[in-house]
Amino acid sequence: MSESHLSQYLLLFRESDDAPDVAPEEMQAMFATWFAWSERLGKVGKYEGGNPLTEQGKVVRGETGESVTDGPFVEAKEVLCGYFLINAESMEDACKIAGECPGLPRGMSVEVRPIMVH
Amino acid sequence: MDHLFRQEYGRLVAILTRQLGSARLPLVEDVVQDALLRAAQVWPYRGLPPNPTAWLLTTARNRAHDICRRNQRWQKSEPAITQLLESTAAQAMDSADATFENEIRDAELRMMFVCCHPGLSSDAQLALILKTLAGFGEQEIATAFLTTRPTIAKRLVRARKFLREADVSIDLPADAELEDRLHTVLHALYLLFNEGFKASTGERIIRNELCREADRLLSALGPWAPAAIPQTLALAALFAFHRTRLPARLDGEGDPVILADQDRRAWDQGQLRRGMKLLSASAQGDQLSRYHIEAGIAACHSLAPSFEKTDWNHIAQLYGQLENFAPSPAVSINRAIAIARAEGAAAGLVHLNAHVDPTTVDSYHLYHAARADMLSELNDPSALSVYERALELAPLAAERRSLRRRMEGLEND
Repeated sequence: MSESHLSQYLLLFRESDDAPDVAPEEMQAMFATWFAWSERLGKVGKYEGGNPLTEQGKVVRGETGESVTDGPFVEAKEVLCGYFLINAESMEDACKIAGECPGLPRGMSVEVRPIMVH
Repeated sequence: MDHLFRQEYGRLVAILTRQLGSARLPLVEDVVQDALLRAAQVWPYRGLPPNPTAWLLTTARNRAHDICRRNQRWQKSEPAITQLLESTAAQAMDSADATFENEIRDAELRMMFVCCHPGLSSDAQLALILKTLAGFGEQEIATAFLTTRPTIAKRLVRARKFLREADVSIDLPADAELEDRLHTVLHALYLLFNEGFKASTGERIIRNELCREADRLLSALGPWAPAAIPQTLALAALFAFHRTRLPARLDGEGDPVILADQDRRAWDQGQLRRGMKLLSASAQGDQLSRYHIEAGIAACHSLAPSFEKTDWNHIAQLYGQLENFAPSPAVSINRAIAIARAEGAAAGLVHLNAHVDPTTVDSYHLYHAARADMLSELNDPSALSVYERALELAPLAAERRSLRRRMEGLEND
């Protein structure tokens, strides 16, 4: 499959900040499905990369950046915990990929944002 | 990466406890749990690192370092811990080699002796092994032992407190106490395996895990020369013979199947061969242990082409030896059953009456079932009421089905 007709999307993963503790065995199962998922995407040229984000962050505002506050998530119930950069055929395809995210059953949410080209 | 997490948890706890001492087990468990959580956050996005253990170890150690630096009280009372962490930090960098693997094995071995400290009750020893070496969660341990999570949590808190207050050494036991300490470890692994192996309803997966962990930890003792005594080999043989029959112990519905009804074609011949090798290796020297005898009994069952063609004579004889080594009503009942099979019901009944006090086993269904079988074979009319008593007490559906079948046979005669 040629990748030329694919466009880039960001998948933004958010997790509820009161997610329960996970036993090692459950973690095991979670990893297995995550790796299988990203590997499957990589094989068809749809996975570009990704990173986790720490919970500590700051928001800078004001004309000269004089206002520095703790991350945007202080009041939020969900924390942005990582992102994937993917290639997808369409928004529909990108949502289908997001819908396979193994974190969903644990309450994770995935925001799908197309990267603007022109 | 089958069971990677569970295994990693145990390896990390062992290696950090070895470095920081058993008194700091709670800190170690916390930072290992943190490291695993960190992995859960990072690995999904970046993939599995080339050496997961080293990655987790560095992360856990950094976390411990952070905690100690931040906590003033700790710094005052324990300046040594920061130094310890700093001196060992460099080692973690280059840890993808065979020395690292050896170090982990050595740490696991020491941890096994810590968990099986004779000052702890058997229950506490098993819970501690499962939590620290096998990476079980408290809920999983509770499920495996058919008890509640708070009970297990309390048990673990008390055990950790004991390790701290008694300042239990992470050093391997010295020659003088080696033999006793080793026997405690073997006994704990024996109990752990039995807990997983004994027939009970539900939660089969967790219970099979107990068997596998007990076997894995016993093999971890293997390379350590002082542990290579005949008892260790005999216990390993016993595990292998039991594991031979594991694949046939469940029916399609997940209910346990009693030995007489098992499909012997499903038995694991590889484990059987392993058991035979271990059993003959264990026959060195003049030491006979209960593990030898029990392995012998399990071997007889595993080698028998059918329930009827089992060498009951030999089994009766072995149970006789076991009555001397580890007397219990269950052993005497089993001996009586084997005698009844080998020499006839009358002889079995004589043994039962002579060696088992009915008042101590009145709530034990196998006693009544065994007696009923013998009475029925002798056409004694009281068999029916004894079967009824067994039926009332039998906890497993498979056992009740089998009892009903035998009762119907009685009525048709």
